[in-house]
This record gives sequence, structure tokens and C-alpha cells, in this order.
Amino acid sequence: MDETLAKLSERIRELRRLSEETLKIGGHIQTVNKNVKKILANIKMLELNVCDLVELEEEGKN
Amino acid sequence: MKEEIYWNPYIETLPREKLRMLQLKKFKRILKWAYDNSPFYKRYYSSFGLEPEDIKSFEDIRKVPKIEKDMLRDVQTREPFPYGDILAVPLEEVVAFRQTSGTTGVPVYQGDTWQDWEWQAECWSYILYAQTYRPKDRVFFPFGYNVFTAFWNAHYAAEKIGCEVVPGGVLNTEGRILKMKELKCNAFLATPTYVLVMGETAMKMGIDPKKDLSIEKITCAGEPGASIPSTRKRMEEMWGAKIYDHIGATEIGAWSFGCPHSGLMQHVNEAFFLVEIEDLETGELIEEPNRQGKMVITTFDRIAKPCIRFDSKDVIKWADCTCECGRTFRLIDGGVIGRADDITKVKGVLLAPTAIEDVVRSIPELSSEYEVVVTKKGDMDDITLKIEIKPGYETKEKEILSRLQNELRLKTNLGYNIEVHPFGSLPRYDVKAKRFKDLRKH
Repeated sequence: MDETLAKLSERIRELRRLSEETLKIGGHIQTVNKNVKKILANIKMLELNVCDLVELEEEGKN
Repeated sequence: MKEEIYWNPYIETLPREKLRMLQLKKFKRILKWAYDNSPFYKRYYSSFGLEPEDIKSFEDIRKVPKIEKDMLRDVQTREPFPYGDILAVPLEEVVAFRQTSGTTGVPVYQGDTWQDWEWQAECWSYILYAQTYRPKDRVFFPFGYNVFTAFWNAHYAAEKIGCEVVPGGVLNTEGRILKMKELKCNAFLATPTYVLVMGETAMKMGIDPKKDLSIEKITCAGEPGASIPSTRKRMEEMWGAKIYDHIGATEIGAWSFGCPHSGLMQHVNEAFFLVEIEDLETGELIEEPNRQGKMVITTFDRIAKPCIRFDSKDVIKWADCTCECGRTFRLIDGGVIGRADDITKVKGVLLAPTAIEDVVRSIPELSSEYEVVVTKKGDMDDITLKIEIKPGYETKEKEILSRLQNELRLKTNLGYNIEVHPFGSLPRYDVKAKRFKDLRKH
């Protein structure tokens, strides 16, 4: 598997974890809620562009 | 890896085998999403006894029943208003409303979540980056920013890439030309029809688009013109700019694009869409190049209103080559050749209106506008072509018409009644032109 992709995918998963955690803590505050949701939409684009490829490799191995 | 020409070098150069695996993975994912979250899809698939788990291989995809535009219209009569129960997210999560142009009937309403909206900009980023849009570019958008999808997402993609974006919304054509001149914009996006109208208007204003404006590239959408050789040539000559094409649709998304190397061919963004081509009569899957068929398309990552195996009625064909750019995305040749509804038999001959456009616009003495009307005279089909002769060439009418008849006969195997109309009298269109009128159906 491409090392850069693997590293990127790890970071993107971490970004999602942190964003979802932030939403849990501050989701009742509108500015936190809406801005984090926008961040999550962008994280989704990274997942489509990077993580899907890494998952494909992982699934191929199993 | 030539990273500088790709938006995502990994995806755009993925080996074909892996691309196919990715497509299957994503097809299964969106099918499950639609089945679990959209009452319409669950009802529809259940009526065929189909469950998402039934799809295990690429070949199984063809077991999934197709959807058609009329179904999208019908479902709109159900709750939640105005989309109907095709919606796969709570209505509160829809942040953007757009609709189709209604060219073929009642408009289809399109609701998108913020993630979908971001996804649309992402699809357009693949297109614009491939077409050399970069942060140095000042890009003009001469379209009405309204309920139609048009170039909204191209606007956001250009911003995402880092271009300087100039919205030309409520300005009229003259105002838009003056603004492009004032700001030295070097790119713009429009339908082929409007690219020609803008050029014609500029010349009337005493502005030569080629010499007095700074346009280097134009991206077309909404109509097939940029993939029709003579229309593309007219635009290139008028503007002295590189012409790029793109095909998309409101209910689908931005699924294909030309690049600097692809000429009249277009890449299908196969990481985000699955394009199947079916024989017009038998429905058989067409994998080989140069054979026309109807496009059935799936959008992998749009969640509010999933679009799975949509029978688009667009007629396309696979190209028989790969592209120098190195993208592994498959190419289609000549863009959308026609609509399955429009490609019709006239006097027993299969006719695609794009072939008529190619002939009309290859004759320099004719204006870019034309209209085709098919009627019945008794039991016989009758076809009339309305054209305009450019000012200064009226004395050569006989010779021009003879050349036109010969070319039409050669390219379409049909004879036409030709009507010459005064220059400037045929309708001019800002958005989608409706130049082919088959009155036999009414």
C-alpha cells in the first residue's frame, strides 16, 4: 500500500474522531454545531478521495 | 507522477481493475444507504424482491432496476414536500434547493445536504483542475444565479481551487462583456449557445472577443455544442480561446469532462459515477467502443436524493482510445450525441439533431442559429430547416443553399425544405436551446 495514502488516511480518521468529539461536547452551541458539521462535510470529501482507496487495499488483503 | 495536472493523482490514475473494484464497493454502499433511508427506494426494490445484499459482483449491478425521470416527478407528489419520499435524510438536513430546467416536462426538484453540496463542488474541482483552472485565473460566471443548477457548483469549485471568481449574475449580456473587459477575466463558463451569443453581442458593441478581451479558456456545459466539431471551431475562432466541454445534470451531478489532450472526447469521472451504456433497442450492455447507446448512470456519493441506475436517455458512445493525460478514466467520444427521445426516425432514417448542427455551423456564411421542424404531410414525414445568412453574403444565397443541401444529404441521408430567415430573427437562447421540434408527436 502507498505509504503516503496510509498516513493520510490515518490522519483523516483522526480528524473525524476529533470533529465528532467536538460536536458531542459543544453541539448545543449553534456556532460549534454548524461549523463542525461543515468541517465534517469536508472530511467526508477527504475520505472519498483517500480513505476509500486505503480501505479497498485492506479489503483486498482480507 | 504528474501531480500538477491532477486534482487527485491517486484516483485519476488508478489501474482499471482497481477502479472497477472501487466502483463495486461504492455501488454497494449507496444501494444500502438508499434502501435503508429512502422509502421510495425501499418500496421500489422490494417490489422486485431485491435487497442490497443480493449485489455481490459487478455483473449483479444490472439486476438493480433502473429509475426514470417520470418516477422522480411522480414521487414529488408525496411527503415531504417538495421532494417526496425519495429523500434519504431528514428534511431539516437539506440546505440547498435547485431544479431541472423542465425542458422535457415538469421540473425535478433537487435537495442537497451540506455534504452533497460540498461533493458537487468536489466533482467540479476534478473538472476545472483538469481544464487548467488555477489560482492565477480570474473566472467570470455569466449566468443567472437562480433555481437552476447551471454553474453554481462550478462557481464553488473555482473558489475551492483558489481562482478569483467574478459572478456576472444580474448583468445583461452587454454588461457582462464590459465587466469581463474591465477586469481582464481570462476564463468563463457558459452554454455553447450563449458563448456564441456573447461573441456576436460583443462584435455588435465594437469589441472583438479575440483581440479586445483576455479570455484564454471557456468551459461549456448544458448543451452538446462543445463536442460538435463545427460549433467548437466557431467558438474557438470567435474567442481565440481553448474550449472545454463538460456534461452533467441536476439530478446526477457533474460526471464528465474534457482535458487539454482529449479533443472532442470526454473523461467519465468513474471514481464518483458509474456509467453504463445500453443498446437503444435491446437494452444489452455495450462495452465496446464506437457503438451508440443510452446512458444509465449511478451517482455514488450523493446522499439526500440518491441517483441509482438512472435512465438518463442521453445517447453516448465509448471512445476507442486512452488519453495522453494519463488518466485511467474511460473516454466517451463526441459528448452527448443526442437524447434517446430526440434521435428519431424521419422518412425511415435515424436522425440525430447534433448532425444537423454540425453541418449548419460548418458553413461560415450561415449564422449560428437554426431550427429544425419535423411535421407530417399526409402520411409522409416532412423536415424543414430554418437558417439565417450572415449580413454581406445574401447575394450568394443560391450557392450557400446548394452547399448546405449537399452536406446535409451527405451527413444525414435526408432532404430538407430550407427556409431562409432574416439575420437575427431566429430565437436566441441564454440557457438551454430548443432547436429541434418534432411536431409529429402532438
